[in-house]
Amino acid sequence: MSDATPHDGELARVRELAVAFALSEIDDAGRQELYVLLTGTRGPEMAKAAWEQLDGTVDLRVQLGGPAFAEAVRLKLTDDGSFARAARRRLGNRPLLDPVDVPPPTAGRWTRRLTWFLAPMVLAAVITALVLRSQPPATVTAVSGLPVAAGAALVPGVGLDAGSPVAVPPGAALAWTWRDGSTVVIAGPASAVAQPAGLSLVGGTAWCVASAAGLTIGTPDRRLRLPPGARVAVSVWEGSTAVAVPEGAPGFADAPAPGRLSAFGSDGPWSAPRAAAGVIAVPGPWWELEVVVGSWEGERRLRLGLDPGPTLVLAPTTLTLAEGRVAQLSGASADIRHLLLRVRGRRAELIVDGGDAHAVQLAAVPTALRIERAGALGADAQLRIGPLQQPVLPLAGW
Amino acid sequence: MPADELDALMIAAQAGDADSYAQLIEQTQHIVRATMLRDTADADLADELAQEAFARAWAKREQYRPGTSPRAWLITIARSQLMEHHRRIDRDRRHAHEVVRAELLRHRPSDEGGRRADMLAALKFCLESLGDEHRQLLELVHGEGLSSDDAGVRLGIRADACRQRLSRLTRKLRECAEGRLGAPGGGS
Repeated sequence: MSDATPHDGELARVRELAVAFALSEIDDAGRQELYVLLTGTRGPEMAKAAWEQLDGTVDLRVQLGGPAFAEAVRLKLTDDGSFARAARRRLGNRPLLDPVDVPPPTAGRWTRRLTWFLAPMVLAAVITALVLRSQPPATVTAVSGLPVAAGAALVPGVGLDAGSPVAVPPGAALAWTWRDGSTVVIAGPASAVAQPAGLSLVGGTAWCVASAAGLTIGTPDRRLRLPPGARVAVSVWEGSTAVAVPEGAPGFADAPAPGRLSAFGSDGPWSAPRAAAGVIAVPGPWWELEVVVGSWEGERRLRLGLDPGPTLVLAPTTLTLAEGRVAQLSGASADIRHLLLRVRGRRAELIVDGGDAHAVQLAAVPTALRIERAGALGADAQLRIGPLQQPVLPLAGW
Repeated sequence: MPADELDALMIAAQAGDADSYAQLIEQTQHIVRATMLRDTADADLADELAQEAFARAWAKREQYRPGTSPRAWLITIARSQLMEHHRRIDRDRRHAHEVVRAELLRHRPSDEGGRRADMLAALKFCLESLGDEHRQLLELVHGEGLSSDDAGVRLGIRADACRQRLSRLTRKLRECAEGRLGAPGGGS
């Protein structure tokens, strides 16, 4: 039963982590590792192995610890709460304190009263200043998935230390609020660093709302200073930044440069005739194309040619990713297909009907997209060039 | 045990026969615990809910309708315990443990249903074929409820090695039990 290949090594690891999980002996790092394995590309296979361990644990407990289980039930039945009642009685029956005499007033009492009045106020001010200085600059307000900071899982209410790196895995999201009221939602995959009055976004997408004090956002290739009340969505991919400002949001005093500033987020839905033989100059290193094919006839092919790059071919039952690389689509031959083509620099990702993602490594960043359809009727497509318009978690003020 | 015999035990328990109820626990704990595991993906929580369900069922035994299935009745009670639990922990649902649990539940396997009793019988056979040291480790952890750390101290091995061994043993036993069930006459 030795685990010979790296493939089997991952399975062995997930089984080991599942045992620790079943025995409630797993630590935060292990829990995070288990989550990553369960949500990875081999998630279903990993989950199957984990479930075998969970099932096995309960089977073995029943087989070896059955009498202990019955004993636990018996104890639950015999515990009528008498211990707790007795404890409460003991605590409630504590004898009252003896009354003390009030001392008579003495001379010079006004000076002392003023001192006694002012001293707590001064002390409170000093303590407040010290507490504020020691408090983290931001507090997590909402979490989806398993984001971590300095190796620890983040949950609502946790403070984020200045300079502490935050990692948000794919599919996860995180929201936090700064002490001055500015807010942010970050969608994974992302990595960021909370700063006392801003955010360093190394990769991923963030939606920010600045408070009256404004907010500073740093990315690998630019620095944005948001004026009070400004709203902005920022995406960083492979060191390249795109910024989108929602309609009606307060503008920037200075045009942010260098980098691109785009409006949200698309060139508008375009119609099937335009899709029939369209060549689109794509606006930057990353963008998304969403296509819905309503019906097919004749040759039944939808070709998306990346220039430079391969031609991706969607047919009713197959998706051709490159020469000789064909993925079978799940389900029956479908008249209606939904295709999402996501380009991030030199990596393209295709998702059909919300299923598995098929990745294609490109030799160069495409600058144009050619669309040819043969028998793909009713194709409707939308090109998105900026971050999504709505944050992935609720964001006050957005 | 056939359903009518379980029904008879429950009817006797209704009349106050604690021994019959103990027998009923013995006969039904596996299905209740395994069902709760499928609903929670958490072995400890599953056991806690199952214990609560058995305790509540005894307290409310007059509500059992003779001629029905005690098994189904107990599972219904356990599931209502689980709903209460969910209401209690709602505010903590994003805790890391809950997130992992939710991910496991997303990939929950289909219920093995009536195969469970056969699986348990096959497992018993397979356990007997284990060497003393392996058997002792399983007894310490699953029988006596020791942690891997404590079991490791008793056996002179590290806790992580202990968990690795438990993982391999669990898999080996499952393979053995499945092989036995697959073999002609297996599971009897």
